Amino acid sequence: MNEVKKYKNPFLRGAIAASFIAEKIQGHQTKTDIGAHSIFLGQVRADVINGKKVAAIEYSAYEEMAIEKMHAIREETFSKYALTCMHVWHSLGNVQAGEICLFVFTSAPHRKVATDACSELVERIKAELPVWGKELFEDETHQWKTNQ
Amino acid sequence: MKTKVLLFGQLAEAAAPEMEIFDVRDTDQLVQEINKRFPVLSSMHYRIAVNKNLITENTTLTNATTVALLPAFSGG
Repeated sequence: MNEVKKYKNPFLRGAIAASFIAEKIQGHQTKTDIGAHSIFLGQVRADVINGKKVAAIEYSAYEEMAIEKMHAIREETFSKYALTCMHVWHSLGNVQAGEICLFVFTSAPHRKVATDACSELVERIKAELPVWGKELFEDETHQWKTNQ
Repeated sequence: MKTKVLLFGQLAEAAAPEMEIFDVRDTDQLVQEINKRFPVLSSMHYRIAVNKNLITENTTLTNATTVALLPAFSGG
């Protein structure tokens, strides 16, 4: 019943702080077989749609399914690429324009593996995780985000 | 027999975040029943997950099934 618990949970509440990202980089300095890190940071963009500016995005997810799916993506990425480490964090709840909502971090002995895996992970996260963004405008109306 | 239905994103906003549907055999019947309760959903696009697995065709429902209605994903 609690099968989900053994999987890593990629979700955290609110924005991803720059200090959190710095700590994660720092934490890898003991792993000296790593020669390359690749980091993707998704930031909430203040799009202007029909004259209204996006102030924030409110993220929600089907968490149980997303955690299982993220686990499957993680396993598949590890078997495809010779990575040393892979970490993914995604925000839930409100993230203001200019703040970070997605942090994907891959590490490998050499750069190509790290960058290729990171790029593929970002695409898969956007396409395959049951997560939804509600774009909140400055005038308190909203619309549902669509991924390009 | 009871089926738990979870709705997300714009579907939850337009109808309800969750509901219970009784005595439907398969996902086609379930969708018909949901559309009767919330006609607004009949014109909305979504994919269906049965016990967290996406399905692409009509699927038989057994007891203790959770069905999720998932609008297009927009994470990241």
